[in-house]
Amino acid sequence: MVMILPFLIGLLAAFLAMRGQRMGAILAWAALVIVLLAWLQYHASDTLNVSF
Amino acid sequence: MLIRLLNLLGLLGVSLVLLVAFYYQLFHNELPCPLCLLQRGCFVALGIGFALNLSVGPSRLHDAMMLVSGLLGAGTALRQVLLHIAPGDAGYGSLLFSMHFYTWAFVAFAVSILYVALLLLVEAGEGSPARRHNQGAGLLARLALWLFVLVVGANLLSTLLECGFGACADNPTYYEWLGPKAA
Repeated sequence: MVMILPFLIGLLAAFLAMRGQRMGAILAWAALVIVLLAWLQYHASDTLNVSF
Repeated sequence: MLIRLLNLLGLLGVSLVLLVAFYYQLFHNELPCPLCLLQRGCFVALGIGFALNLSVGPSRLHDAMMLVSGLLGAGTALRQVLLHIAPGDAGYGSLLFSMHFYTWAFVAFAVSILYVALLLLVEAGEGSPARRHNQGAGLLARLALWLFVLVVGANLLSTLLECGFGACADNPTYYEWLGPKAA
């Protein structure tokens, strides 16, 4: 998993948002959320030491 | 006017959170773990909603983006809280005002969700989005937008130094690209 990818996409989205390019920023944000979800699924693999 | 102020404060708040994390990373050698970096990524996603509200004007879509980012961030932080919740587990990293950074992150994401609810209330009080006129970003807003972009860029650079082009170590103790002695 390329850990810089969320920040690369985030930087693109932030830059587009600052420039007022709404649709580009929204699409980049959507890509960022997808990558964050995928990376979370990859890293959240340990069994939790809790019981209910 | 109040909406613009709230969005400005929101974006500055997100930048401040990322800067505090950076301060501890640089001056206390608190290298972020993969889950910590994902929480930073969620703060970036949250900030994009505030940035859009400031640069092109408030919209319910931007607010929805912030709510999704806040929930994703809260879930990521809660996952890390649960990893270390068992008795005898000292947790990961140092404490800030008696709580770990990931616990603070959970609190911050929960507060951000309440904050967006407040934004929605204020927006509802000022009429429909179509009736609101966007006057363009003022000087303070432009500075806040630049600060946010710079902080995100700095996070990209530090993550590149820490992890290179691959995944990060679970418990990183040094920057991958700088070697063990540089940490």
